[in-house]
Amino acid sequence: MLSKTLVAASTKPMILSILVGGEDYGYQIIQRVKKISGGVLEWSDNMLYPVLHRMEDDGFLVSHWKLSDEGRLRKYYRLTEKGRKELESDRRQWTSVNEALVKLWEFLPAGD
Amino acid sequence: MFDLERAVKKWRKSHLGMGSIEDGDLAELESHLRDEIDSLISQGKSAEEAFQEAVGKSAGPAEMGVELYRAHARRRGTRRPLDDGGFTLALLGSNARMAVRKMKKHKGSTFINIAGLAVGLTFFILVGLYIQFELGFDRFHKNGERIFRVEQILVHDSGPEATAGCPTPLFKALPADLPEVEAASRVVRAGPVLITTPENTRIEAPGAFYVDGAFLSMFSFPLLKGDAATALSEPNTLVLTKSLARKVFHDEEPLGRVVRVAGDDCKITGVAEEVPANSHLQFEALLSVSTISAESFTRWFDNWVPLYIMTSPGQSAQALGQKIRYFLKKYQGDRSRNELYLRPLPEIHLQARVHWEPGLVGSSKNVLIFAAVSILTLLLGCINFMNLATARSTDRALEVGMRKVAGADRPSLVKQFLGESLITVIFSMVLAVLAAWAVLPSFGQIVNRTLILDPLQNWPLTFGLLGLTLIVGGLAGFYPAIVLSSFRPAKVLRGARSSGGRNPALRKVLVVFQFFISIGLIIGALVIYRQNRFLLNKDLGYTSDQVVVVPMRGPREKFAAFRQELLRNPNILNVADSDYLPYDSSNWTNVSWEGAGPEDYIKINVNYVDENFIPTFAMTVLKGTAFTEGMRSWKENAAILNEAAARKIGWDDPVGKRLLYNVDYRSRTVGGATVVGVVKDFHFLSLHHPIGPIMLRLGSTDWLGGNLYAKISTRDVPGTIASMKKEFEKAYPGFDFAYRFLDEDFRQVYLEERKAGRIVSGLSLIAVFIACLGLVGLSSLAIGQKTKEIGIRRVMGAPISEIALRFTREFLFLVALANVLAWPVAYFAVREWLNNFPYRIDLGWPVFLLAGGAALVLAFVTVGFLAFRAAAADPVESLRYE
Repeated sequence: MLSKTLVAASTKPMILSILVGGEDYGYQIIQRVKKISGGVLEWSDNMLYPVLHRMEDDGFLVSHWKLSDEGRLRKYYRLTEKGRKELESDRRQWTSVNEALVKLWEFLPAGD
Repeated sequence: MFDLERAVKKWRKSHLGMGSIEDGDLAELESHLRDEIDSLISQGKSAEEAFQEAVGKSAGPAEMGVELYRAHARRRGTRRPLDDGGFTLALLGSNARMAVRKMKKHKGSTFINIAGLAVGLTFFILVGLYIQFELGFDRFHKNGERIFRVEQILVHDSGPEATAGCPTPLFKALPADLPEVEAASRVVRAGPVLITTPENTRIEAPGAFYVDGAFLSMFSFPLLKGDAATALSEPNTLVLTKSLARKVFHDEEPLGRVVRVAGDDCKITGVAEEVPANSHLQFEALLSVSTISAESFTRWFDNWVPLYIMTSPGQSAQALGQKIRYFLKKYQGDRSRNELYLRPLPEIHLQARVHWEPGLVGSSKNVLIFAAVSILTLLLGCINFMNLATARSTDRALEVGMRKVAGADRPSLVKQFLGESLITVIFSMVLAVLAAWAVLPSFGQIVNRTLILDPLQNWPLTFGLLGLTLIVGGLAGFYPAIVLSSFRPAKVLRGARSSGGRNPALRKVLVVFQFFISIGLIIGALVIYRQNRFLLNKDLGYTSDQVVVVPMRGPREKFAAFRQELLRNPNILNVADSDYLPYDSSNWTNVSWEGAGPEDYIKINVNYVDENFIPTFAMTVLKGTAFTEGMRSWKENAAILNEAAARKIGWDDPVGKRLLYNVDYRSRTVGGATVVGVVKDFHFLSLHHPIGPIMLRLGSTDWLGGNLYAKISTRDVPGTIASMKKEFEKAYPGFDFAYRFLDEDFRQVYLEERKAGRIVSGLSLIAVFIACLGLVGLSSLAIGQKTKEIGIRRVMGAPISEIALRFTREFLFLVALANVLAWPVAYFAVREWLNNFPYRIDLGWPVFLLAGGAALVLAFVTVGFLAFRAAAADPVESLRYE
């Protein structure tokens, strides 16, 4: 059970990282996160979409609607230049924290 | 049987109640739900199970609403009730916000919409103010319903003439003979007059009237000082308006002071409030008419006194009108065919078109024309709006489809689109009111009125504008709303979006209609302009430029010497006098001739002139001679006829023949006159009347006529005027040297036509502007839709010009069609208007070709530019455009 704050804090960098590879839509993003985290991170719709909208408002993403071959309307999001920069910044921050923690935990017994 | 679609619909509805979940969000959520359901079904679950599980995984509408509200609230920065019972209100609010957001997105077409509407609205407001003003004249009088002006129909052989000039004794006879007439007042124009104080302060009063004592009791021109009942009953009394009194006396008490006005010493018996702008009688001073000798008001065939009466309360105007119709027969004899009729006070300003008009007149015809044209212009703005909204439906089809998918039903979509159009209209209206306020002074100058825009005081205006906003918003938004909201989502989402709205045909019709109106207006403006120029430049049969007019009367004995003094100035070329202005001769009489049968007589105009009159105005004497000084000593008077008079009598060579008078109003003898010459026809009335018969007679030797004329050279005009003034004041001390230029005076006669010309040209320019705006919007959309096609053609090697021409052709055809339709309609309209003038231009092809050509050129330039720009764009970009 991951802490709520941790999940919340990691949502943005996760979304940014996933979208680096190209545009994608909400449902797909949730599936990919689930797969990559090995099932640990299972985002719900009411968690993801507000975040996506807020990120779009902040200018990190832009969205557009696309019609699939089966006739399903989906809202696709992709990164903006600002988003890429934000990703870089997030990556640095998380890496710094991670490195500090790793150094500290050198001396602790391995966790389960 | 589990119905997945129905279940999803229900699910959707449950979310719609959340005001914070916008349609786009809901669509996204639904798409998510369906993906989940599909995935579960592919894992082997049934539709029902999949649905239940998917819904279970999703947060409920409440939680979703909260989260989305938080996300959106940051965007808005405003507090908003999350769960409002008023769903419509929330929808309206979000609609408004979305409308504004959309407007920001489509800056170009939004601008065109707002601009077109605002321009049409601005002029609608201005013209509306003008019409409101014109219709509201003279309504402030307390007794207004009982006040009428007595007008006369003088029956000439050449036709009836309506005049406000009544027989001079009528003012006494009418109240005496008819108990229904409670009060009567003469209102004779005196001004402009010069007021001279004993201290020699001289102030001019631009408007002044001679009135009877009853005037101030009849009309509501309240006195600030003095007693209205008695102020003007005695001769030599004077009432000033507050501003005039201040100009003359500054802060001193004006009551009781004596000043010199128009040759008489008058005592000031009252100070009146300023005359409101919507009174047809405009004045700064009122003089008692008894100041003029009673002698002048005794003859029944002198028709120059405007008379206003007040009926007793409860009196029927109709009955009284019947009674007075043949009243004149009693005093003028049974043979008199002249009739009297009553004109109600509020009708005078707009409807009276009579001779001897003392007041300020408008033109009811103009009011109608302006109203029609401004409505047309507004219509154009609305049509623009409708056209553009429907044309943009390609972009919106997707949005509409989405919304329908998200569960919006048709009424809510219609509401949304109506709301959007209402927002646009409100924007335009605000802009229009500001623009109207800014332009109002200049507009007031054009129409020669002082207009005020005050929404707080002017309730009819404010309500009218609010109503107009709703109507225009409704009208302009209704059709697109219906069209757009009727899109079938399935059809739309499957890519049938390039249909561009269901009715491109209707849009074309609207473009044609816009240009139809614009071209019609241009034609109208051109015709009015040409007719006005024609009137002002028409050969009048005499030359009136460089002629100074000074109204005066006085003993003739000084005149000869005075004239000699004037002529000493080499810049003064000739000096003459006459009773009436050469273009405003209004004295008619009956005249018979030697050898005529007992019933033979004609109605003829008479102007008493001196021997210098004909040369001063360079009139052409066709037969016989002009007047000479020697003729003054003849026992009988000398007369000169015009061609029309000679024709009427039936004389080929009138020279030497004798005319017989029934009544000679000057010397009061029955007598005759010998014709000494025939002068070429000249316009002695305004060009609204055809030339009738006129007789010029040599004035009497002892008294001067009403006007002095001096023909001056173009050199040193101010100096010439100054020297004239000096000589005049020497010869006639106490008289005002109130000079003016004859040709400027003449132009005033056609003021209403010139006004009409300016308004119609102004409005036609605006109409064309709006039509072009519409064209810009539509063509840029059409071109936008075909961008890919343009790119392909370029790539395949077509030259830019050919591509551009292709697109321009279609629009040019529409404009040409508009021409074909507009020409016949405009032709009939202008012909109707021109028929009011006995002297008018020929309506030839050039006007129509000019208007049509201008429209075509404009359309070509407008569309061509856009088409060229699109065609010249980099084909790679065009192809990449999606």
